[in-house]
Amino acid sequence: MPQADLEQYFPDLAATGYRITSPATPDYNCIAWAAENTANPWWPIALNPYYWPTEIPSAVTVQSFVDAFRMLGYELCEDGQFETGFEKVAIYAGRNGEPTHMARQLNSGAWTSKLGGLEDIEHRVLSGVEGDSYGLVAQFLKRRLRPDAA
Amino acid sequence: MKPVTRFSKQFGSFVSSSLTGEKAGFLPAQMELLGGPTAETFQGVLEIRHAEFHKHYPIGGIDPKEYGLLERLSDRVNDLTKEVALLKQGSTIRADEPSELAQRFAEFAGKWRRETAVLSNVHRIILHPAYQRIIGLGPDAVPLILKELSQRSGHWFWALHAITGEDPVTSGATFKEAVDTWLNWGRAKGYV
Repeated sequence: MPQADLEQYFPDLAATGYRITSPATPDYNCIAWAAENTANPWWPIALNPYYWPTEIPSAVTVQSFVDAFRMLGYELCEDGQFETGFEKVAIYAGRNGEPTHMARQLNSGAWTSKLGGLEDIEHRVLSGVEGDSYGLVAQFLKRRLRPDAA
Repeated sequence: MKPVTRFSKQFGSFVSSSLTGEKAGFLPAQMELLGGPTAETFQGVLEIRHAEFHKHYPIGGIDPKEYGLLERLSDRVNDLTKEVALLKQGSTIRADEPSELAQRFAEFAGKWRRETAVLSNVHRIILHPAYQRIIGLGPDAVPLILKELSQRSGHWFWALHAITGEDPVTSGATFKEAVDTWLNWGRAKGYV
C-alpha cells in the first residue's frame, strides 16, 4: 500500500517518522510479528491456521495477551523506554479494552509493527500508530535479550 | 456451444420424477430449454428452478408431509449447482464474465478489504458486515472466494468453513499452507 494510503489510517505516522520494511501480506499479523513468528496470524480463535497458545484462555483481553507473552518469557514493565539487554513489546487497546495491536522494540529503540494485513513498518515512537484504528498503548512487557541477540 | 447431454438427461429425470401437478407449472419452459441445453441454458434453467423452488416451498409454513421432498429437492439443487461449477471448467460458461453475483461479491469483498486492512482482530475481520454478506451469498460464492483466495490471499477460511461446513486445514498448518489446502480442496470439488 502506498505511504499516502497508510497515513490515512495512521495520520500521526508521517510527523513522527516511519518507513515500510516489508511487502503487505496476511500470512501473519501484528501479534505474531511481536512474537517473531511469520508463519501464522496469532489470535484467540479456534480455527486453523490461526495460532494461540493452547495453555492460554481464548479471550480477547489484554490479560490473555499478557499471559500468551509470558509463555515467551516476557514480564510486565512500566514503560517503553529502551533498556540495554532487554526487548520490549507494547499492547494497544481500544476504548472497550480489547487488544487491537502489538509493537516490538528494536535494538535501535525504535519500534516495529505489522499493520494488520498490510506491511511491516519501523516507527520511531509508539504514538505513531495510536488513534482511531488501534487506540492507545495499554501495557508494556519486557524480557531479557537472548545472548545471541544482544 | 458444447451440448450437455448428461445433464439434460439428469435434469429431465429429476424434474419428471420430483415434480407433479400444480407444482410442475414451470416445467414446459424448462423442458423447452432442455431441447438443446448448453452450459448457459442449463444455468438459466437452474436459476428458474431456484425461483420456482422458493415459490412453491416458501420458508416457513411447510407441510410436514412435504418436508422430505423439500430436503431432497434442496439437496438436488445444491448438487446441480456444483455440477454447473464443474461445467465452467469446460469453458462452456465463461468464468471471467461478470455476473450479478460476481459484481456483488466484488463490491462486498472490496469494502471488506478496505475496512479491515489494518485489523489484526480476526473476530472483527470475519464479523465485518460485508464479509457476512458474502457468507450469505451461499455455495454460489465458493468459486469466487477461492478465486479471490488464489489471487490475493486473505482471511477467507471462516467464510469457506461457514458455507461448506468443511475444514480441510490441519492443526499446525501455516497460513500459506492453509491457502494451498483450500485451493486444492476447491480443485477436488471442481470449484477452481
